[in-house]
Amino acid sequence: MRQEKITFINGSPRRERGTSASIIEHMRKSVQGSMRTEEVYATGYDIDDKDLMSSVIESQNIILVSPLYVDALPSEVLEMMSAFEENDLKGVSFMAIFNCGFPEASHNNTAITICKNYSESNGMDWLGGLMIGGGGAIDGRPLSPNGPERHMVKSLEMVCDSLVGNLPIPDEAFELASRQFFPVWLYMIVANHQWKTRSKARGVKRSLKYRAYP
Amino acid sequence: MLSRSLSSDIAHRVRDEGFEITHVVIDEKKISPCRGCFNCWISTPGECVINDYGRELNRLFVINDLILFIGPVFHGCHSAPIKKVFDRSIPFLQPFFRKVGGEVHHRMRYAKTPDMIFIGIVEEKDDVQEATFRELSSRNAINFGVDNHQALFHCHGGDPSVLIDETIALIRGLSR
Repeated sequence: MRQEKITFINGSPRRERGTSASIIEHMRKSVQGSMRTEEVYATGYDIDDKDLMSSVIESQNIILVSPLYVDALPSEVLEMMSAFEENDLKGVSFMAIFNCGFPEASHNNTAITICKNYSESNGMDWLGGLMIGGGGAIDGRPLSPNGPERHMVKSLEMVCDSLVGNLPIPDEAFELASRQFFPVWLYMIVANHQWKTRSKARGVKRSLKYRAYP
Repeated sequence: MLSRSLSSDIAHRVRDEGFEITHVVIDEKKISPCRGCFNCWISTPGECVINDYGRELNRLFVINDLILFIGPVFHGCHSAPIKKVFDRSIPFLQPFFRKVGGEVHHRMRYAKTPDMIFIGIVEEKDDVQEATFRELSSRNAINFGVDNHQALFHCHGGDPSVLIDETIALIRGLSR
């Protein structure tokens, strides 16, 4: 029987202000009316909160949505996943969605592999991983089907349709998620410029190339 | 706990070989997780705004010729404590982008980067975890602009003296 609840684990320490929150919000709206959803933050998660842990595992569908931190999962997400696997996770569906600040989605590949290893060694039902590049272009704003992230939005909707219909996620969804928002050269110019303007807006005098330990 | 005793044994041997070392046991230090605020790039460039041992770790990245990480492997990933060190190390990099091997990465903040050795410890032989750990270590090395890195894998039941000898040989090779 199809399970009716999805638990989203938000892996971002920025919680509701990050790109992961934008993705989760969009997916929650997409499945609204068909499946119940819950969002749990890895940051500040109390690993001794057995009720919350039971609730996550009993949902039978876990989707980790997280930023990529230094080529892998943020440390707090690792702590949470480590606490989870002290329970029986057999048969629980697991999917991972990583976004990184680099324009190429492929940076997320190792993080997805780690989640796949976790899923398989715990006897979970691995649904696959979406890799998203250029997450800085979202930065917590709502996703738009007409914005540069339109392919990713389409991918998320395909994933949601599959979850609601209890169907396998089509290959196209994985391909669409990884499409670049902008050409790499343009992303680099804009992002490099934005670091400077964001710093200036805070009145920072120190060079962004400052060496704290000469 | 094996990581701790192995790291102590390796530290002793490296010191006996005449190298100057700093031995840090992460679990004994107060290090908060990265907040993802990017203040270390745009508000206090080069320094984390969290005032704890994480700042000292950054200094150690800058002043040392080699950093050796040793800890349990979590499904092919570094353990959470080691990962916390990496997450807090981004002030070591600039926010600005550069291309490395056709791929976008951050520019280096410092002229010199340390070599790195990653030692992962597992309960039993596991080819899948080992392949992932080696891949991750290579990715970390690219991200941190490391010229020379090595990844070693050690099983609980394995002979620690073999790992220690192997590590010493690697350190000698890298220090030439």
